[in-house]
Amino acid sequence: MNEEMNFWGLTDLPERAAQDCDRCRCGSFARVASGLCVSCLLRSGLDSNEANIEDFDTLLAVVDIPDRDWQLGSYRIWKKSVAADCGVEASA
Amino acid sequence: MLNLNRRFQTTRWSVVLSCAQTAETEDAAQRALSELCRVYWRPVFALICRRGHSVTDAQDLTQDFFVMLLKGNLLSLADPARGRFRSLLRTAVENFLTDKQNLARRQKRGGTLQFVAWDDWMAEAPSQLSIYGQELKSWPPERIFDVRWAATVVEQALRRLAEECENRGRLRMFTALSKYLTVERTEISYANLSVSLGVPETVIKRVLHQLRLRYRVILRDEVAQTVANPADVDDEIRYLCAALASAR
Repeated sequence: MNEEMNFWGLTDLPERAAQDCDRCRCGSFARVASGLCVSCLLRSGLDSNEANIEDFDTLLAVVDIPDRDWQLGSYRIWKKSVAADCGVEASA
Repeated sequence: MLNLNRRFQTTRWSVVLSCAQTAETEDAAQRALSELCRVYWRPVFALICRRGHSVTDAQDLTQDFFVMLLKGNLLSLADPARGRFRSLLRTAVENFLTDKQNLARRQKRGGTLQFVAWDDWMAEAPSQLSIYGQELKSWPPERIFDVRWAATVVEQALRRLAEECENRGRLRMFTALSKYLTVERTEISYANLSVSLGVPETVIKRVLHQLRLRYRVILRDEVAQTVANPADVDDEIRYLCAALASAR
């Protein structure tokens, strides 16, 4: 268990929770990792416009924006397991 | 594409409630409850911390609470007539914390045993929420719980959307476009995105539009998993929006 997760359990990054982040124009204060506003993300679920929904799987297959060979994904270091002269092993 | 109305009959919370109604402890209900707990443990932990317990104690108490929960005690409290997983879970945590016997039992056994795979839960769903810190300190525990719940819902929806894209070899696309999910179209530089992703602007517009629609479907499905009636999805989203707004 990460002992630094002590900002009332709100986030894995207490240093970010403890700092003032920019408010969204909607007036809300909470943002997820990508910087998106939690309130705006929720409200978008109320949008009733379901016209022109394509099959998402088909769209992903057709759109030519493939990942690169070296694509690692959105990982972050979770815990350092072993440290030695040759390097550091970590969970991510 | 997901058909929410058809799928709703088998959402996790409705499965749990149906078993509570018939006083049965079916495996399906336990699995559904376990899955819900794995997603929504953070609000419980945050509330316990805000109640004044140290991080270590809060970890132990959260462990104990989920052990109690997964042993079936919550099912006896579940009322299908007014069932939302969020409200029931919050009530259950508050009751748990006021029961001094729970605290005594934890102290007696040393609070060291781990029944819940806590590290696994954290590792599979890391949270990088950032919050306007000054006001955070004045929030009451129930507001902390609701705000953490709201964040968990959207983080879970984003995680599922990212997984769908990654499984199709489109994580780079998701990473580039997901930051515009709620941004006004007039504020997006489609030309820059076109250059960075190497596809025409028309494709960027089409993909981003569909990404938004897919996110919405997933978000509503995620909320639906925690309510008993399809009609409650909008109300639940509005409640969470209000919780965020009232904490401004």
